[in-house]
Amino acid sequence: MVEEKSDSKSTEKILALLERPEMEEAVANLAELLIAMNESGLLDLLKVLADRGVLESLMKYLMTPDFLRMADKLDKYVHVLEESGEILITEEKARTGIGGLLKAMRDPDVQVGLTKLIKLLKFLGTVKEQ
Amino acid sequence: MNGEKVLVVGGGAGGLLVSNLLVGDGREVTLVTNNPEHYFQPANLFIAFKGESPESYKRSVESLLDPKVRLILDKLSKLDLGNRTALTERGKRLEYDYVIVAAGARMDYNSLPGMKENFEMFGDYYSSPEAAVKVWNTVSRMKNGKLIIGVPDLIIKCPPAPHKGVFLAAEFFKKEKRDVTVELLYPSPHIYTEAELAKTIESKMKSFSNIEYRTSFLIDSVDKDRKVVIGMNGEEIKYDALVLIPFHKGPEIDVNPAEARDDDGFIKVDKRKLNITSYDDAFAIGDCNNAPTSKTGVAAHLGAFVVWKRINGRNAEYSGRTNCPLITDDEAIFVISDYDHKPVGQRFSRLKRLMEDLFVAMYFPSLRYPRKFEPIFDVYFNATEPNILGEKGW
Repeated sequence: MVEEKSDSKSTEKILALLERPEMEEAVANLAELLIAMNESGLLDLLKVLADRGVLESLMKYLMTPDFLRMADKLDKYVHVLEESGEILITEEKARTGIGGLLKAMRDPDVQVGLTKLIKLLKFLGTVKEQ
Repeated sequence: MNGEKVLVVGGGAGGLLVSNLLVGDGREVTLVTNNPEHYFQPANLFIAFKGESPESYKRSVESLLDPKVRLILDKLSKLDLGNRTALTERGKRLEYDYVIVAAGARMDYNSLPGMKENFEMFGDYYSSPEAAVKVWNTVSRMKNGKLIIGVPDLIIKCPPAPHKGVFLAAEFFKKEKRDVTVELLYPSPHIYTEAELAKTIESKMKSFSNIEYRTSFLIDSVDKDRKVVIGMNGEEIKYDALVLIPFHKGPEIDVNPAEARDDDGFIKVDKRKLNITSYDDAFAIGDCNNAPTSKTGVAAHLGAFVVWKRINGRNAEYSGRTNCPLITDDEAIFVISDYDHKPVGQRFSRLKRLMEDLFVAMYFPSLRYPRKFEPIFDVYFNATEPNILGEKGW
């Protein structure tokens, strides 16, 4: 029971919206969308998501510290994948022999890359052991 | 539990949540608030620095309450914990079996010379949406000069909000190509109270050419005629516009016994059980209590669930968990800590900004239907507990 009601602005707002001329078309569109969603089963899916804890299960699946950390850096991963992917799919004409390898080793970026590769190999080794 | 009378004081997030939870058990719940409207407080930043409409972030208290909750629009003036009675300003006497005080913090503009006059001139984004509109009226008209955001005290709601204001203001001026510098005056030795997180925030601030900051700056007074902030060391900093974060005090309720409140008027509670010291039928949640954690909506939210469970005989405890978002226009971090863990390491990311947007979208329904949202929030809070995120951070 509400002892001292404040003015119901919601009803006024709804009535004002209903009076707007574009409302007729919007409602017709919404009705068509609802029919299509119902026929495709999307409405049932939304009902399940809203009422039956599927959302909770989905959250439990996604909300892990590892997933959150990964999602947090997704833009960085995409950048790395895109850049390295471009190198991988581009035809490479240059050939590198032992001499070229030794020369490349003097490049600080290659040195850092090698350190990262070793770190990655070390981690992959741990995964194998697990 | 049928027939048990619960009195809830305050129509903020904590008061609405605990009312909706307890009335669902079949209890007779009465909520007393003198404000018929509830507003999403963090949105004051969007009003102050993005010019958004206050109306988007307001709802009537009535619309956010289960219709079974009895709503009294009046100010609670007296609370007698020993006799389990309360009195409203208009003279209504109320009796209860349980009382939950969720009355928020009171903004104090009188503890610093010049603060009140400054508030009247420039507003702030702490006290109300109307005061935030005042900030926007100044910010949107500034063409050049310096906007200062000053923090005189650290016992404030949403501790990263001063920084959020700095970032949002700086981004606004940058986008508008205006020659305005935004400066943060902060009292602690680091730019945030926790040193590691301060490094992350400092590094982000340095990436803005129009942000300046001073740490260990203790504000003594404001001289509005000369437009200077005066530090306790006598240093004077000139401003063109000044937003000061107000001092926070406990709510204006005459509580008996008076010892139930600390020197600043905050209600003394057991920091984990949230019962008012020496009473097992009285609780205080959110900004109005003296729990040694951040004053934030998350504390009110989690506190409401703890009290609901404890009244139902369950052994729930509040861990002191915080989850304060610190946002820029495009990125965010969350200040995640609890009583036993300092804030976990964070990096600014777009995902966290998106998560904050999703939270804002869920805010009002989550107050009205807390039981439906509880499992979803629980999953998030569990996955991001400080001891689980650990050294790796997020």
